[in-house]
Amino acid sequence: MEREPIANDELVYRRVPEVFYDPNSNRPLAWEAFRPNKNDTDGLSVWLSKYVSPSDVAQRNARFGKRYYVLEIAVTDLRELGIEVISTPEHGELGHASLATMTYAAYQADKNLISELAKRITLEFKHIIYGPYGPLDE
Amino acid sequence: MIATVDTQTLSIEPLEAITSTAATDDTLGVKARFLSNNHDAWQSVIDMKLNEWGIDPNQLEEEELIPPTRTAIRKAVKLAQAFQNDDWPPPMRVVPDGDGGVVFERWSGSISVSIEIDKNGESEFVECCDNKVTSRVRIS
Repeated sequence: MEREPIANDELVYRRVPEVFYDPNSNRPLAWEAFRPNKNDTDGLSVWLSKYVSPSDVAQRNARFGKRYYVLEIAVTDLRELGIEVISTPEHGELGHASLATMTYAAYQADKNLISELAKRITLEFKHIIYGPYGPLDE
Repeated sequence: MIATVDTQTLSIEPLEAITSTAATDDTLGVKARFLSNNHDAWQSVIDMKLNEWGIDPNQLEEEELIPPTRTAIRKAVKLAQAFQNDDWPPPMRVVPDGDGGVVFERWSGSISVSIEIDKNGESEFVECCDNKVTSRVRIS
C-alpha cells in the first residue's frame, strides 16, 4: 500500500483503553493515552476516518474482556500544535496513520515537550469521544 | 523500607493548594469519593489500584499500553504509603504511564502536579501550569 497525502480537513481516530478514560472525572481523558512507549518508534497510531469507523478502530486487535473508547481528532488541530500526521499503511492496513512527532525517541529526548503536546491534545482540543466499545465477550 | 521524600525540594505548595478539591474531583470510584480523610483515600489507591495491578500486571496489557512493571508498582506502593503517612492529599487519577510505569496526578484549574514512576522505579515530581512543565524534580 502506498502512502497518501492527508489533508488538513480530515479526521483521525485514536483508540483509548478504558483505563485512560474516566467519564466521571472533570478531566476524563488521561494525557498518558498520548504518551509514546517503546513500541511507538514511528509515532502514535491513528486511523483516517474516511476509511474506518470508530467501531472498527475499537475492535482492531482488541483484547478479550476489554473496553475501549475512540477519540476523533481534527488533523488541522494536530498540525497547529506542530504534530506531523502522515499516512503509514505499512504499519497496519488501509487508513493507518501516525502522529510522527510523538515517537518514543522524541519522548526520551525531551520528556517535557512531548508530555506538553500530549496534555494539549487531551485538554485543549474539542474532542468527540465514541464508546465505550466491548468487551468482546458481551 | 519506605521511600523517603524530601519535601523541601519538592515545592509542594501547589499540591497543598488544591487539596480542597479532593472531595468532588476524586476519580477513583464512588467509594473513594466518600472517604473521609486522606489516609483512607491513599489506602484505597493502594488496595483498589496498585495491589490489584501487582497481582496481575498483564491485565492492563494493550496494543497501546505496556503494563506497569512489578518494580514500578512496588515503588508506587512505597510512595503512596509515604504520602499517606505524611497526610498528603490523595491523587485524583492513578494510571499506568503506558510504558511500564505509574502516574499519580492532581489538578485544579490550570495547575497540575504529578508523581511519575517509571518502569525502573525511578520517580519524578512534575508540576505543570497551562499544560507547560514548570518543574521536574527527581524523588529519592
